[in-house]
Amino acid sequence: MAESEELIAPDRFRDPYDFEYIIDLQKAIYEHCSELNLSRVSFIEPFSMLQLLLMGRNYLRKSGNRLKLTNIPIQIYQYLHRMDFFKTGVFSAEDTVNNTHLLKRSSFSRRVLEITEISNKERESVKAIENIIGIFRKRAEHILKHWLSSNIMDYFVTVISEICQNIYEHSLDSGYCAMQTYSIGRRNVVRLSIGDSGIGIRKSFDHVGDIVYNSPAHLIELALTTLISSKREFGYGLCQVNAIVKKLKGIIFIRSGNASVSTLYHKQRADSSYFFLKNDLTDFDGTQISISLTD
Amino acid sequence: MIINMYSLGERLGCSLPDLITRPAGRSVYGYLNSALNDLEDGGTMVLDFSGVKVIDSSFIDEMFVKILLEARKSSKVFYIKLKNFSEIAEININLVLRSYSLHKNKKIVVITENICHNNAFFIGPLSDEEKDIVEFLRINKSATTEDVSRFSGLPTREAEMILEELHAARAVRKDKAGNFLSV
Repeated sequence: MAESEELIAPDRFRDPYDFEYIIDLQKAIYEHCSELNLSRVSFIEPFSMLQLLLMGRNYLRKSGNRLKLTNIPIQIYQYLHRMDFFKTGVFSAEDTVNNTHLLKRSSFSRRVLEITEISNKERESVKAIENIIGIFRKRAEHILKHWLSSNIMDYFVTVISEICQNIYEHSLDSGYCAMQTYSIGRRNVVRLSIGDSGIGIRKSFDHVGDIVYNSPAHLIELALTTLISSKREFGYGLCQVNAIVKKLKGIIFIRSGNASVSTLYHKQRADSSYFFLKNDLTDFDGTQISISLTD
Repeated sequence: MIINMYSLGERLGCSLPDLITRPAGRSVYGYLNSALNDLEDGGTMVLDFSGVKVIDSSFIDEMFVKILLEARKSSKVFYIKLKNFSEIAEININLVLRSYSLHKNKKIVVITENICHNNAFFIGPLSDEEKDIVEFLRINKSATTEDVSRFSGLPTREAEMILEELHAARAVRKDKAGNFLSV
């Protein structure tokens, strides 16, 4: 690796689809880069933040060095700091922001769940999940302020629990969870992001012979819509998540390996759903899930 | 026997107000399974979920499915009944029981004290005829096969088969005289 080689990251952290441009740069980052210049980045949403974190962790694992983040715009630094991004110890970053400029953890800013690591060991992982749900319950009135439904908090508890358990049950690696409510124009978005850099959905089903699928994205779709499981006779988790997101008319985005699936549920029409399958994307380790609601 | 699931969860160190994850389900199942020793033959274990909010599918798979299967196969006859569960708990229990029943071709249902979304007092996959019979017994408390046959319009043999299947699933009781009763 050529030392001090810098790569300027494009402003592609606005949504899960946008982040594909950064994933396409993955090889260059791993092989030729020691510094990632974020000067052009104007916004980072939670899913892209977790993907960047996983990319940094992969870099650390492959090279033994921490990728340096440079020229981080102040509002991006404030956000990443607020989300405990730097606490993970994956990156080295220029500490250029004065403490007085960092975002305070007042009740007003409690529209987030900071990044929490989900271990690949059952006991630690269960503790982390319980901790995430405990904090979520305390902050839910802020996080879900724009979504008025008596049961929405319980729906999200189910979703967090089901997806986080998949990390230690299936991925064979640890992962991260984060959540945030933010605004895009006049719309409010709540986004839950959970990701790992484990073996991914396709590899976890390698030893399961009787599941027929015609592409990796098709297998992800089957995991969402049927009760297939790579570990037991059948599994409920992702199906239950899909059923809840359908009820809430939300959006699921799952990326695993070189494939992704997005589901959209029509807000006005009942039983109207759309699945978008993509194959042959740039391979990215593990499985990452984004659950979003808009008001 | 009434088990307060919130207090039990508290005692076992579960993350209340939710009953989630497989390890928590396993430890609650372990407790309930040993508590069955204190239940008389033909007794009902009522699981009271007052104060509990979410019960996730992993917990349900480790606890509910196992205890309901135990009720089906145990030489000691016992019944399980739920009360005071939340809406999301009902949704999650329903999904797991329906999925299990579909895949294993073995019906598992659970009787409830509260009315459910299916406008009846059980969670799980019962046919319309089975649902009507369970409801008939709930209202009338006790009935013979002939009573059920007259009520449903089914031939006696068919009514008997359905009642026996419902009894095997522990969705209805059966006394020594052969009468069927509500759980």
